[in-house]
Amino acid sequence: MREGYEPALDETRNLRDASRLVVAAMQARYAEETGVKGLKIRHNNVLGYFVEVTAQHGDKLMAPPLNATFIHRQTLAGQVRFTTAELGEIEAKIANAGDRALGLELEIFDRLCAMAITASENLRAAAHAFAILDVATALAKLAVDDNYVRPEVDSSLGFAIEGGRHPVVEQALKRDGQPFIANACDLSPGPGQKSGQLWLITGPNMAGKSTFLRQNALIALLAQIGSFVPASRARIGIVDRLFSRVGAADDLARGRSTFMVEMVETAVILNQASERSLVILDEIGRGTATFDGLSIAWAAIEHLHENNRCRTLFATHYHELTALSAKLPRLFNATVRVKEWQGDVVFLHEVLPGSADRSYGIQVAKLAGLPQPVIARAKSVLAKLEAQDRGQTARALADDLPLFAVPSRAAAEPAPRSEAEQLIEAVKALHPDEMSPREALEALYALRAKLPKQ
Amino acid sequence: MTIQQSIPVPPDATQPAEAAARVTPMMEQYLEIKAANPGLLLFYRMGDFYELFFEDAEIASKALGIILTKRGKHQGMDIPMCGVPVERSDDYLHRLIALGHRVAVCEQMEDPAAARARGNKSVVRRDVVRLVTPGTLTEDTLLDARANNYLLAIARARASAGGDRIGLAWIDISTSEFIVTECSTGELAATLSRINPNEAIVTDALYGDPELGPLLRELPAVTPLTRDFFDSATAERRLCDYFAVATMDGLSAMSRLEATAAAAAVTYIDRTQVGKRPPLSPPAREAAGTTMAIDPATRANLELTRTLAGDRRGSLLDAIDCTVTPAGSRLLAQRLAAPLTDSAAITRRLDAIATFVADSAVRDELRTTLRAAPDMSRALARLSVGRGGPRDLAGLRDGIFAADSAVGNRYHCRGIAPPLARSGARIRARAGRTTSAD
Repeated sequence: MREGYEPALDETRNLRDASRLVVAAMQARYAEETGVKGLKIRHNNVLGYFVEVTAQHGDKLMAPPLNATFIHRQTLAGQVRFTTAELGEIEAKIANAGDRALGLELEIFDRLCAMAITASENLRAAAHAFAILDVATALAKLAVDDNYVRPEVDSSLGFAIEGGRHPVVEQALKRDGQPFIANACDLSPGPGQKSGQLWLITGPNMAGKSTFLRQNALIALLAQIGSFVPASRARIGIVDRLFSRVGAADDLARGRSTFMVEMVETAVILNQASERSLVILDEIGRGTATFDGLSIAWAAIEHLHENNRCRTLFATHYHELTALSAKLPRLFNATVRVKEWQGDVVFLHEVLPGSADRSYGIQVAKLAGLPQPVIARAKSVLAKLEAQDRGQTARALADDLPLFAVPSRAAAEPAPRSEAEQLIEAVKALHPDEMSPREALEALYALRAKLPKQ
Repeated sequence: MTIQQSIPVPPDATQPAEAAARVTPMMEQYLEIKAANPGLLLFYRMGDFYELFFEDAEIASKALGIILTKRGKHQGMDIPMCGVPVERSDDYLHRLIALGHRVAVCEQMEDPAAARARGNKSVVRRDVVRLVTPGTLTEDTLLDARANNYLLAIARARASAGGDRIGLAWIDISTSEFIVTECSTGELAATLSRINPNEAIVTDALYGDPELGPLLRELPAVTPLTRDFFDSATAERRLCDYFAVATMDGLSAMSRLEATAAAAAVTYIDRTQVGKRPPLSPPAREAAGTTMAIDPATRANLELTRTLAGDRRGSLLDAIDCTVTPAGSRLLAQRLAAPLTDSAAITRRLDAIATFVADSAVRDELRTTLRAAPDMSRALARLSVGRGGPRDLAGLRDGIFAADSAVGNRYHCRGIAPPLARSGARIRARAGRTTSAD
């Protein structure tokens, strides 16, 4: 407590501190009276205040006339301790003053607490106002520092973002001194259309599909918490529900397989998404056999387009799905641009209209450091598979589903193909949704063991 | 509904006379208090230590890595015991709470000398002064400054034709926030992940429900309670009692189901704080459909507040959080968890930000002022339940000064923070008196 706040407290404290001065004065007086220069007045918890002299002077104080004043209390190896009536009185005063000061301090503390509690409604309102101001100024600082714009938020079904960026990835790249490639996204209903668009995004892994998908979800979310957004322009029609799914990781803890998790989550979306919702689906269907996965993705897109009619971003590596644009008027094909350069793939992180002609899986595998012999072998297998595929023009047909079709004239082909065929047979014999994680792992090892040795 | 309910007969009473005779008076008292607080670890004050006995001791010694020893015998068996020093008990409490345990703190209610004066065999009077549970914390050392600490009560109304309704009430006693809402069972998962409670209370029946039980058991701490907490017939009366009003109509409009959940929450708080009632704001009702529904998988997938690996760093919240106060950080997390669907409300927020984007001088000045403002709502909550210290008062003082200084600038931010301008003016009058104290 500050001095000058409470007169009663100051008085008590003065008394307490003055008493200490009195003790010091008394020590000087006793030293003079007894002629013992080393005489000290000390304090401990057992004796309280006492006079202490070295053993050689002890006898002097215990002999008349000094023993009338000094009452012997204790003899230690080097010191002798005494008390006096006067000292006892002072001690009581000091203790009282100390206690009283503490009592007063507690009393004042309680009074102030009570005042604070009485004012609590106002204080809480102020605290809340501070939090609001803090958030508003913090988001303003973020908007200035990271170059965000004010989004237009309305009750339409529009969704148009120009120069959109991923807030987290952008910051990470910035720390490394790299620029983030901004991308536009427009899911607004086209002319004459009543519902939003479904963008189907194809392109190799690692090219930035997932980042693109998520950044659009995050921009919508930021806009609806009332923040500026990382884009050069954004118009968002209010989103009532946001869904985002990725071909999931195994959920071992709950004993569900990858595929089961994916399907449960996809079911939630197909059952719940409304026209106002925003749905982000990343590689749904990859957790099962190729044909199953493709068929499910195909049917899911049709359902989203026809029944849910929600604004959707759907990333896939099934290029066959791009054929759906012929049948579904609000489906728009987009792709992530890559360049092939001396057999390697270069990611440009640009999202453009169109579809990827191939997945560049082998190039990505090469980047990941797969052994050279495996890469070479994979290339030759792919070449064979593509050669057979070329004869079929079924891709143009929306209701046909050509995919790495296993040729019927396989018997005529030389050894390499038959190995590939064995592998395909083995993969087809697996039923991931009926397997435990352990069985799946064993199957994977078995498959690897079947790989041709080089 | 006090803590000392009718006490079940301690196990000893059923023993033969000679075995019962071996129970010391202290152990008799211990067993009595323990039996009154089932499901909680009992911190039993003995001098400078809180001691734990029997199974509690085994649980705590394992959880805290402290030595398990023994003290005396009970029915011919050694009594396992471990203890934590009182002055460092906060740290140990924190670790137990983080592991999902709940603790009953039992203090000595009189001077040991007074007990001796009553006679040789007298035991120091002891009583539980507080239940420490994950959802009812006020201490700075036990709380995450940048996150709300919610207690959530979940009530269900069964409908004969399916389509059960769920009433939810959640309270942060460290900031006095109190919110209620209602949803369908299908929306429960998304609602739970939005609220992100630190502790949930439900009826035994709901906890064991084949459909909803698994969902509830995924929450960090769930406490099943008896039906009387969720008794809708007495809900209104219990709420009125807590807020010391004759009817709740003036405070808040709630559905019956919301009131049931709200009453369960305040009853539980009343019980854990053993009579000290932390002040709560009147329940704010959140209308259905006013926030964007985001299910748990989407939240995880978009890494809104945590990355898939579980870190705050790398999440969206971490990237956009430039706030300078814990309360600001908490509010931003709340907003991120519940984006709005009302374009008018969104526009108001955007207007505020636009003002501060345009005027960098005011923005920087305010941020400097705010940086000096302490966590007032939490300091106030601690003072209200008698757990505050001079530091909390000093915090309020600094907060009032900061408010004063911000109000000085209020012409810049008119329309942005009317509550600040209003309350600032009102507390300014008090400021002179209160602030000269420390």
